[in-house]
Amino acid sequence: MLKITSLTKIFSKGSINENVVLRNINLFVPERDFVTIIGSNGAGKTTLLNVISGVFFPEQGRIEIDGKDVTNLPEYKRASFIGRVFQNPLQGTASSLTVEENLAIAEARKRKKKLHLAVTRRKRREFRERLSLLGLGLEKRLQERVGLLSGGQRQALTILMATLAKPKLLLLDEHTANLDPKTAQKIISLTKRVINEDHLTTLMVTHNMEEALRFGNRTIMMNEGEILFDVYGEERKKMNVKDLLDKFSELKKERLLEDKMLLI
Amino acid sequence: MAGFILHVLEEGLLFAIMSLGIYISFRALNFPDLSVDGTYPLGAAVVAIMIFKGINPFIAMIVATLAGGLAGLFTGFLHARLKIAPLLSGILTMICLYSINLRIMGRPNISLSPYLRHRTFMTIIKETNLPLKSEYLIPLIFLGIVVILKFILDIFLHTEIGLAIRATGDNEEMIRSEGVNTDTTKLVGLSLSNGLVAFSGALFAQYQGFSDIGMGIGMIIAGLASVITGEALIRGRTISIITLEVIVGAIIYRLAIAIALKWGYNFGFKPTDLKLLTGLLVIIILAFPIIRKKMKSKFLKNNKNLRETKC
Repeated sequence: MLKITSLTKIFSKGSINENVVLRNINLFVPERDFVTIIGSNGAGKTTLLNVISGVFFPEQGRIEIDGKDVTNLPEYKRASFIGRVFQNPLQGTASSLTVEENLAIAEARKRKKKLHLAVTRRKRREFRERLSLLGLGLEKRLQERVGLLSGGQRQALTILMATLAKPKLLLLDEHTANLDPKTAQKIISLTKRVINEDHLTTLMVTHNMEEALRFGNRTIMMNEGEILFDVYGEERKKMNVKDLLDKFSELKKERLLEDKMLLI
Repeated sequence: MAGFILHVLEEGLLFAIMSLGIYISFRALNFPDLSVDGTYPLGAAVVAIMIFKGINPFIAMIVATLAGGLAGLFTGFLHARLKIAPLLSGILTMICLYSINLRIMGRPNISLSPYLRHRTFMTIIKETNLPLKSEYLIPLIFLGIVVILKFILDIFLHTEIGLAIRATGDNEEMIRSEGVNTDTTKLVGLSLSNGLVAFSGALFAQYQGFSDIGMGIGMIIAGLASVITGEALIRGRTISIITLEVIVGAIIYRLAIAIALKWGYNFGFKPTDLKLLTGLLVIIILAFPIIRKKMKSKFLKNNKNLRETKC
């Protein structure tokens, strides 16, 4: 499904501030995989998602989705098969547009926008149905501006928008980090339900180690722009947060040792 | 007095067309487009030279509108393709248009006069044999044009393309992740905006009976003043109310200017002070929220002192 080969991303290349954010990343994600990505700040998690979705272009490497090379495809063209939910609840929706207008934009994601009314009666009925499944009462607020909604409601709307047109790949970037624990819980269970219902291939960045192990079927840990380890299957099922941390420090030590040996 | 009010209404309605254009760029698209100072006289120049050459005024107005749209595309091209900042893109188009407008007209101004048998939109209205006096017919026809334009614009801003334009001005990151090429929405929006502005200029040239190279100076501020005045008076969030705000704002703005011109000399103002007055008016309107806040906090402080002395 998603195939990343020797991907490298460098910010401010050639200047003294040169910063290698992704180093030679190789990753293959088969269809229906739900991968959680963890790693400390600056590990390159968000950059990885941004390069996959085309916000930045890589310095090196290749990205394939469903066998199609998308490495040089602009962001807006990749949108037809990638759905995204961001950390900031304000980022995924347009606040001066109404709930139904935002949904209409998302619904038309896979095709060119046309010169006919965006919200028809039929679509409104469909949106109302989809919104009522969220259980947030948004189905009664179709014609309200999104700016009037709370962060949690906006994030729920963003998830619905990201999955409305059935993307091939869903990218979630710490999408519960800015919410209060109770709302975060709601959003997480909503995410899980949508992914299961639509059988979506998903990459989810999270800061919460426990969450990383509990959700999905595979976990990747990133550090300084590299994939430190990649666990799935039985090995992952037996792991707890402590194992994860132990493995992290163990692997980091190994890396340090390797570096030292190079210096000697 | 009735004549004065009708005159204000006519000018206000013509200004409203330009203000709707400015609403599209400044508000819907969130693009501070200064090319308006060039596209307004561009519309006037094109319509004037064509009418002067004896071409049908309706064809002339269509060509003038298209010319404005093309100039808007140029501004969009400078920004979207050449990555020049929005403000600078607009100023560059404006300055280029100054020379182009002079070339179009061949001289700094063209007079359109019924005595020279120039057939303009205005002379056609006056020739019609309706029972209504042309004095009332003209503002009525202008009102009709504005209402139709408002209606079309309202619908357009609710189409998928219209939503994409509004979302571009609201949250560019979001709309790009929804599969919209924001370069395209900016080009479409700016072209539409400047087309409306040029159309307004084309009508105004026929209304006042001449086109002048300097008639665009400060238009952007006048249009912006209309948009802001409307927003201050009516607080609505739906598109149809917002476009109404813009139209009402344009008329009120023209009223304020007309009052200043008519009675301003009592206070020592001259007609040449018009641009200064416009600028001051916009400054006052923009500063109004801050002044009000300051006054409120002062008021509260005074009250607080009062309470404290009581205790």
